[in-house]
Amino acid sequence: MVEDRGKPPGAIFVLGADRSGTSLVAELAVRWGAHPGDPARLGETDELNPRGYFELVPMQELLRDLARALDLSLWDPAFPARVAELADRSPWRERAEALVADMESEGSPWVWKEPLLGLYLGFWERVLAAPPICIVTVRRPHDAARSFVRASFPEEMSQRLKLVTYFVLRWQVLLRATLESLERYPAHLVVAYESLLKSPVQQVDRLCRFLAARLGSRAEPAERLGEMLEAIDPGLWHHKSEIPFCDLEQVLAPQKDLLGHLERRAADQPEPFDPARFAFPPYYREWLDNLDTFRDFLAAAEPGFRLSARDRRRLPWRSAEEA
Amino acid sequence: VRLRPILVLGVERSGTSVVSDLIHRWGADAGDLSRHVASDDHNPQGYFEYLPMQSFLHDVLVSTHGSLWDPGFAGRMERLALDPRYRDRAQALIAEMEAAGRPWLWKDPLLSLEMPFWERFLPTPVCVVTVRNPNDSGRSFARMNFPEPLRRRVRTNSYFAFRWQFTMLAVLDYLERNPDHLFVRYERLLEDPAGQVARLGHFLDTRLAAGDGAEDRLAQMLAAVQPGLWRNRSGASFFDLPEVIAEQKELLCYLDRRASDDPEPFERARYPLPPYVVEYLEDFNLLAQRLHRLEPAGPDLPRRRQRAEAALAEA
Repeated sequence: MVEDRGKPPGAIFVLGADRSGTSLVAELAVRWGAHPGDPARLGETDELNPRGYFELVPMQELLRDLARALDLSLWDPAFPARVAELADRSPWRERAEALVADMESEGSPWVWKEPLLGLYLGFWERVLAAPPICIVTVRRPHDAARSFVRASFPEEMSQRLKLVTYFVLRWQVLLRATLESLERYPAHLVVAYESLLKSPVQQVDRLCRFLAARLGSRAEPAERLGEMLEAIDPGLWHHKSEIPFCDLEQVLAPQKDLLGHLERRAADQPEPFDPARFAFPPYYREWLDNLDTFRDFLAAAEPGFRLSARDRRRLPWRSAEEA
Repeated sequence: VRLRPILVLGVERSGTSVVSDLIHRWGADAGDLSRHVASDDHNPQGYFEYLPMQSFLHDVLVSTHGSLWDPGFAGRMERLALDPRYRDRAQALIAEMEAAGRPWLWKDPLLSLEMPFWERFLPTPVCVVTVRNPNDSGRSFARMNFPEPLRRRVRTNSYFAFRWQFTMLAVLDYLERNPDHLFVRYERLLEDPAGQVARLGHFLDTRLAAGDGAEDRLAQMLAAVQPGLWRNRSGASFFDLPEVIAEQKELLCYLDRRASDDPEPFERARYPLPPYVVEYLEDFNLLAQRLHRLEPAGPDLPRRRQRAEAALAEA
């Protein structure tokens, strides 16, 4: 454990599905006073996230290498448990401890954000001296899906692909794995993206109070709140569907139930988590694996379409292009 | 002998080609054989797909400006049948087939989904429907349509089971309006060729009032059944696959009973398609087609379409 150097300053993990406000919440945590690691290693910005993704490149590379070492689909139900076992093995433990030591060297709370982190919580639980403080974002999955398609495919294809069923499955797997782990970590907060943009003052204050209670204050409350509020630009709230998630025909009852569960937790209505309520449909793994495969092969074959550096860092296998 | 058409229906890679071969050997005219899709490793005895008909099926599909899997597809087909441009082409194709003066045969997997169009022009076809373990058909389908190394990575158990369920429900919907049909179980045909060929021959003889020579016809037909071509046997039962849903298992049981001449009524409500199926099929196809630089009908059609176009251009 990375505990020998005295009480560690505290790790914050921002979790949630892709395109669900995780970057915004990570930025809020940074503005609150957590440090995200070497700014030069925070990856690229792009037009979808002009202020950045707040994802530490060496951390993402470690996650990718762990998945490649397992040679197991991220979407295999055994993945979280299998990857957790690697925390006790060399060289993974040494690499993980070096990363954590680097983050702790600043002596202040630090923050990591990466949507796939939800699948790796068991791994980090074995490496960190204390469980991370987790902030989970929740956004209406079909809105996040539109954003995801736009971020993942060339313009002409993104207009034709729906991928709501795909994304909702991805969201369900990530959030269910996250919630299962959070049963062991009392220090977590669920933040609804829509509430954050509709009631920024209230939600930022809620976030500040949550972090201060766990990690102490980083600055004067008013000053801190003002800095954080500046990060929220409702103009960046794209992909708002008119149709409620619960009215979508292709969404299954357990998925609607999961969103309801998360929304209640985001409204500070504690509710026990029972994974059996949120069962996956039988085709879920096939579709999740196939989409990753198609996208990988398309990027190798399609003129004008390449995986971004961020995508390549996150791909759990050697890309078709590399191969 | 009556001049009725014989249509072979069923999902891809479920024995539609071998059954077409049997019907052809029975005596049905399959059109000018030089204008058929050429045989290949996947179907060494031929596809029995008549290129002008196939090309037209494809044009009809494209003209609906929609997805094959969309619930509104059947309605669009029916409307298209009223369009004189398509009506005239359909009638010309039928007239071409009738010119031989004997029962004639069409087979193409797309026919199963386009029957709402053809019903207007073919009021009383005789139909033969093939049933095979969908898992084996799916393996064959993947082998045929996904080149290495993609084939090693793409998984098709769910995809093909949904494609099969969708197709067979469309066939069963149509057969509710057409009592002249026979279900043939592919596995039984290869395990008991004599019994199944006799059953098919008897069905065709009675429906189409064939005359003497039944024994000769059966002998001709039997020669087409090559158990050596029974490939892509997964060894796994369809019922044991985790991706297969209860309704699909029940549908296979139902089709199996129909192939055993059990005249059980069809109740569509027992085999509902899950609500996410259409989107999965559409997105999967779009991505697969993009990879193959294919056209909008399904991963398999473009390859055939290319063959069709090349052959027609030569002709």
